Amino acid sequence: MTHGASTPADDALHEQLSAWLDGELSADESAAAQERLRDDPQALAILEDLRRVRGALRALPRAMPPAQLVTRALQASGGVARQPRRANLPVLRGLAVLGGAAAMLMLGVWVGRESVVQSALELRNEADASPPSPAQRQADREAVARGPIAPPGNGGAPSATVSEHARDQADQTFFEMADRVATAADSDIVAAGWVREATVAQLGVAARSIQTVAPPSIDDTLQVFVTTTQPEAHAQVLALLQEAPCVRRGASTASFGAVVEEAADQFELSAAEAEQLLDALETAAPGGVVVGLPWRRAETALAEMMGKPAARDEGLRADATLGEPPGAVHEPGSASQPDTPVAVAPAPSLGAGGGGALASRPASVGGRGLALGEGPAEGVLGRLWRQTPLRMRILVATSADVAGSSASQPASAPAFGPR
Amino acid sequence: MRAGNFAVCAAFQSQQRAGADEASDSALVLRAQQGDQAALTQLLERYAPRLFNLCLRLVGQRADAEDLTQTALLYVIQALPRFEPRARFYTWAYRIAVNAALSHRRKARPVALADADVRASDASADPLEAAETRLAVAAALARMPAEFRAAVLLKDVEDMDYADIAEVLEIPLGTVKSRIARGRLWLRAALDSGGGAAEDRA
Repeated sequence: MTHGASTPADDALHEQLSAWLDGELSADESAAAQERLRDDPQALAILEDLRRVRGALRALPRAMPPAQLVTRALQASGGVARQPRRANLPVLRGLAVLGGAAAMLMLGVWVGRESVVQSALELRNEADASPPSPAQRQADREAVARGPIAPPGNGGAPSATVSEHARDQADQTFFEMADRVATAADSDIVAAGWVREATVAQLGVAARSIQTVAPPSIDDTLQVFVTTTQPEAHAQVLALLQEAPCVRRGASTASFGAVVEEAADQFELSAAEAEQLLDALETAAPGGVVVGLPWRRAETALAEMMGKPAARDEGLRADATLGEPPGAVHEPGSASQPDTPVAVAPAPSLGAGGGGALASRPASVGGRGLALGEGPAEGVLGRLWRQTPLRMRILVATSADVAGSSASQPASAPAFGPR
Repeated sequence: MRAGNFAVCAAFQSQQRAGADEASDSALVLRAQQGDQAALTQLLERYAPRLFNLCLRLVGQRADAEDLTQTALLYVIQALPRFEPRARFYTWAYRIAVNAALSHRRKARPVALADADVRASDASADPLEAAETRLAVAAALARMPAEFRAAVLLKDVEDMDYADIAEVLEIPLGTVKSRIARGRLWLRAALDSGGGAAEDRA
């Protein structure tokens, strides 16, 4: 057997014999292989080589994982898997707080994986062990029962918010966790990688998503979420991306299987091309654009970059508005079952525990998302892009169900995943 | 002829075993989705050793493999409520672990010799030659191009059939066939050159 460069004929023979060894040939192919083996000593030698290698691989020792691996995973997850539960408003704040922390921590795991995994999981456990107190829950119920409080920038749309106290509490929890995870990861980045699964969890199998990434690094990346609730808007945004001179197009490299199999194409744009795209996206999807940074205190940083005095000023809304999905099921005996959407601060979460947040508007993952207001925010993204050295990723998502059913129903929250 | 029959028989047994696991997996998945903690635990315990071993072979470091396996299990737990019954848990779980490990490898240092190989070789009661061969195989495997390695490991260590490997790696069947053949030949060449173990021990 020679070790020189192989010819296509050699490759074909190798593949044939290798597959024959594995019993992966059809009857006809197998017969052909056997005939070749009878007539060709070199083929027989190759087969013996392949068999020897296979035997050596099979003889490798199997390592056993630590005994507590499953237990640790179960503990980190918060326990048993459950069917996704629809939003339950009385406990929404708690879910959102814990869920937001969980999502962020999972992200931290991916970014600073080597050193931060255990710390992140411990923090997550800690968060789980500190749910909102009964008094806090009651205060939230009362706040919701008092009626809608239009969040800044929401134009007085019918909605309710959780109490300021609850929101502050959520903020505090969120940022404390972000700081601690980032510290543990020795990084300013608390959100990156992960979460294609969250995208699909939130969008469902009917969802379509297009992810634009430029350039291929999460560091210093401006995340731009564009969610459309109208088929026309989605088509327009999609057309913009399809017409853009992408560096690369293709299927996502981050598929996690059945759960995400409908989440689809990925595009990469150069920074220069991305700049050209920003304003057009704003125009095409008014009110559907949220920008975020994978940093601690991203909200403040963005506000400063955009020349805004504070994140919650007019035109900037730091909330992920959580709309209750159609057919939401309330737990029997709930003290409060308001019909209006609720706005809370942290980003929606991964996992069954955060199921109440799965029908939300766009929000950043890990960092904070800043919605650009209800109307077109012409030029804001373009200015932001020009003023900062950030790279940019764009994700556009539309739920077909949402788009087809209601113009006012908010679309699900997208999230970024590993590439 | 005998080899062919043996291979077919082995593949059949593999399919039978996979089928039996699948049926049981499906039942466990269903129960776990309904909130059955014991079923979830059983499911995870069934797969944790397999996923860990695979991660270890893909990334080389035991600590990394533990982290990656735990991350994969965590993902399984969290995504299980949304897992579609028509999909197969078996390939899905492997896909999660492989994706996690390959994603890690792109960022990580070169794969080192798996701890298990060193310990097994040091403590082995086998003849010295056998132990050295095993060490050489492990060392060569650690240097094998990632795209070959995943396919070869799934075939020769995890004993998957090509269709399942294609599903796990999300590549066409023909590519699976090619990668396994090329990976095996790459490994044979590495072993013949004698550099595998020597490099890693140096």
